[in-house]
Amino acid sequence: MTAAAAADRRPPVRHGPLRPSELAEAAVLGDLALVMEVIGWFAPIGVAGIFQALAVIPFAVLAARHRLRAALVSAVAASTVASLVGGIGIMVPVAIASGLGLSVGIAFRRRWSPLVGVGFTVLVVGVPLAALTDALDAASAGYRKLSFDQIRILWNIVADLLKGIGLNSLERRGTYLLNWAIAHWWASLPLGEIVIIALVAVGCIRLRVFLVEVRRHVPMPVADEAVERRRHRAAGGATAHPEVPQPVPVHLEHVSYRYPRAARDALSDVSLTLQPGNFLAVVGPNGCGKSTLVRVLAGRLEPRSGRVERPGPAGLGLVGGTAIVFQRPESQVLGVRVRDDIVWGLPHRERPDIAGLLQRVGLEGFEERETSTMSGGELQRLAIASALARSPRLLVSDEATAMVDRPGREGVVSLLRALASSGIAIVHVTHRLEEAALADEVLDMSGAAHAESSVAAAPIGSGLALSPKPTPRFRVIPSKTTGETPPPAPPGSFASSASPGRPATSRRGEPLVTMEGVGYVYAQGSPWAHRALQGVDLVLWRGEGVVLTGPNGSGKSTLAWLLAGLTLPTEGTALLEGEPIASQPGRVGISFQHARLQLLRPTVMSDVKLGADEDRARRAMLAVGLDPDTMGPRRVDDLSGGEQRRVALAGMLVRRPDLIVLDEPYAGLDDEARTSLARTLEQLRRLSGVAVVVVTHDLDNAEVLGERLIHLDDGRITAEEALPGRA
Amino acid sequence: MSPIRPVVGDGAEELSVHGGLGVDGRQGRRSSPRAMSDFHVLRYVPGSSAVHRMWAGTKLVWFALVSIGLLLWPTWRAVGVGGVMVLGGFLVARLPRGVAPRLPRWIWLLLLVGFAIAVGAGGKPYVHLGRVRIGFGGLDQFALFWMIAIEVLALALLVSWTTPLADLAPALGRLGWPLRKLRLPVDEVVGAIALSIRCLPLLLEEGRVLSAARRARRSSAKTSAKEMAQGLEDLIWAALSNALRRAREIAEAIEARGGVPTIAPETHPFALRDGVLVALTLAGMTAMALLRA
Repeated sequence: MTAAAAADRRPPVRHGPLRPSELAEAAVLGDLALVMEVIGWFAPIGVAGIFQALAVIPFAVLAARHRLRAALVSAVAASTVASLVGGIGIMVPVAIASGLGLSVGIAFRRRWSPLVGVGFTVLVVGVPLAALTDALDAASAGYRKLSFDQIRILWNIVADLLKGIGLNSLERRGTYLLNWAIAHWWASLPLGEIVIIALVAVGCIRLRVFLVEVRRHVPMPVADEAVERRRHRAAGGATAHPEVPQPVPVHLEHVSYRYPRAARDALSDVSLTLQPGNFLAVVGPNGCGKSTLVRVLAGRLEPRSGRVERPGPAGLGLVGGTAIVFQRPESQVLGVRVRDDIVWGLPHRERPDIAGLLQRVGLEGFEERETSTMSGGELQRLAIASALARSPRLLVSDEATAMVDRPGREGVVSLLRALASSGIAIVHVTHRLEEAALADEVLDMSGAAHAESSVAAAPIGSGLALSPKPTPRFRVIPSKTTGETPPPAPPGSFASSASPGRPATSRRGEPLVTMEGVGYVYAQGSPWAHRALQGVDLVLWRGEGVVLTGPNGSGKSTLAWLLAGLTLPTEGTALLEGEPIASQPGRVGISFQHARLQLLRPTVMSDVKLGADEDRARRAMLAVGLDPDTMGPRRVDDLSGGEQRRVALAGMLVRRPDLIVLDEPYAGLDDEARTSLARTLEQLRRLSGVAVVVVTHDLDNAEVLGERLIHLDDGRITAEEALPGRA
Repeated sequence: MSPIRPVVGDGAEELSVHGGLGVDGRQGRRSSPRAMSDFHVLRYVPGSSAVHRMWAGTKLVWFALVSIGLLLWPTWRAVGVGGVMVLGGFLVARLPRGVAPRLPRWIWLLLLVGFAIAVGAGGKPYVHLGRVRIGFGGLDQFALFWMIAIEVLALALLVSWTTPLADLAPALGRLGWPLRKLRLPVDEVVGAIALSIRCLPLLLEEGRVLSAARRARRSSAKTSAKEMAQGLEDLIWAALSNALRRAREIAEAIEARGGVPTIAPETHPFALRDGVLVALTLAGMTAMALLRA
């Protein structure tokens, strides 16, 4: 192994309080272990033990990536939360898993031999456990009696069995041994536990393979060493006289940045000037360096070349400094309650006017709301309120509108405009040109875009050539398909059960999906019962395109799950050609918004061909606009969200579904990727007779997606209209 | 096109909003997606009872002391004392009946097997039914073990049903003052606990989607043990990769807030009812210790 790779095993930070990345991983990985433990409790009995053993892995990964302090904080926090979730029954397994994971991770990070690793595990887990058992037994005769009686009961059964089959001498010896062990419990019990822990530790050696994979493929948090050094100096020396943040006016001159060990600049030659009260819009497609620019402006990265001039430090997150609002709403809200979120990270002496801040962003009266009950648009407003609590001089929106629908976006952008007028410098990063209209200045970074490695932008038709080599074999019919005869599906296409030559959308014969009086209640019978759907009647025809829309909480995602057969309706029937959808897995494909969750194998090709041969997989990839040769070997974790969604789509197509349901397929995609995805879906429908239901709040390209638009509100279908079709 | 009301981004979120933190545990079976949202972790049931209004820290102390007492002195008398305290808590809290979790089916199976073993093992006292002699000693121990487990779980649930989630971490921080005197990083741990509680719904939701995605792509062919092991490894990898990406986003958000977790200082008064509960708990502990013989 090279020296550089060896250095990778050292955690980037070694002293002082936990850094944000350490704290975040400590909390999230501890939660993951807890979730595994909980699933283990609810899994069938054979699988339960496996899940509980797997809870070791998150802790091992944490301890292998970060210093001991993070691992210990995580162990204590996870055990505490576990005890609140389910008492001692869940706390003890989580605590033991954390101890095992910690020692495995440390042994890996310090490159100890497996033998030393096992010894270490026995020392830090086995010995304390043994001591605890002894202490408990010594303190409580009752506890001792209870556990020994349990052992005797079990042995009596075995003994009867042994006597029954004539192994009397074995039975005698066993009874003698058991009596000896119970008489000398203070030695036998701890010894037994240590032996068990040693055996488990030997089993954990296999985890090292896994940890190598994690280290190779999951990047460590981006920490700019120059910034980290400066912060260290500030923490060590000048805490008594902290520099007052002065992020604006800021002047960038020919600034470039390249990430360590990257092949090319992420940001190249950017110059700009930003004054207080300026509203600057930064536009450009995915991958053009917008986020890197944000990091430079926020002082998180020092440019590799060029100059950044500002009167004082950027002061990210400090009062009077720089604030950022990010893309994914639910990831940047840190408080359980709105009130907690606003003061999260503020010094105690700061007492912001919470009601006033909420009013300013249009969330009056939300103080006591739990953040997990808020919609995405509300969460983004809350994030802005939390930013404003620090009275920032510079507010950066890093694609804060990308996951919000049009009215939500307009609200956020006009709020930013108003804030600029009150003297705050605003930088709004977006891939939508129309949002830039309200800005004072626009920085267009589209020239710097690096092409995505998919062939998404290929000319219409070529992506659909379902042979291994894409050739433009099909004429595109520019009109609507209903009532017309579409081109026959090519040989070997994904025509499911629709025969070639049959109209893609056929209202003759039997409908594909029939829903009658469908209702769905979450947590029925509990105090948290919530009705998501009521009296939904819906008929879908083969090859049809339907757009399902409605406000947040209208039940459209629930309907998507029902259409995909992932949930049974609590009322009514949901049938696919006469049979319940849920009993016919594979006939309906569903694409979730976070596509990574549905990719089950590490590389693109291995995932797509799950349950099919390579030839089909290649054709499916071409059908969704992915080049099998360049994309096939890539790791799914390295792909963008849009690319992952395409891979998930290909993975569905190999199973020849009759219906594909897509939940918010546009979220986070730039204009070009959206148009190309819409085109892909349209062609799939036209050429292979698969019905497509798109669940979205985003109606920008709706007419390309289908013939019908269905509005859902408050769990009911409120309106249905025909879409005009393409011009 | 008709006007659309202001809406939001995250589709997956919609499910977690009200339906909550469901986990579909029974992934192995074919047509049981109903269980998905039947299981609830750390969910508050609004109410105005004395238990609801009590300081969260008092309830945590209550929970911890009764659990420790049952662990140290596992006798029927201690179970009786604990049972009175837990039942009393439930009566005062006046929770709706629907909160009771639906236990997984295998629990009943396990109980049945355990029951059979316990009866089979015999032991004093003996009861004669005609010619058959049944020893109830094993059953006695078995029942005692289960009663303790159930009481501890019931108390944990009672605390989580009557305490808003947001109150838990600050109360722990206030209870941790002796450790803070020892210069232990109490605030850091409390910050991590608060963040864990905040992220738990997100991770449960991801677990739910992950399990649904596996169901959707399940192949009908029989799988070998090797393929199952591979599938499990892939599943872990997907969960881990998602969790780490989520952590990265959260880390960025923490950094944008100055990087220091501070919990909103809590000012909940320690009222008379808190004092009464602490006194009752201490009295209960003493009773458990004295009645152990």
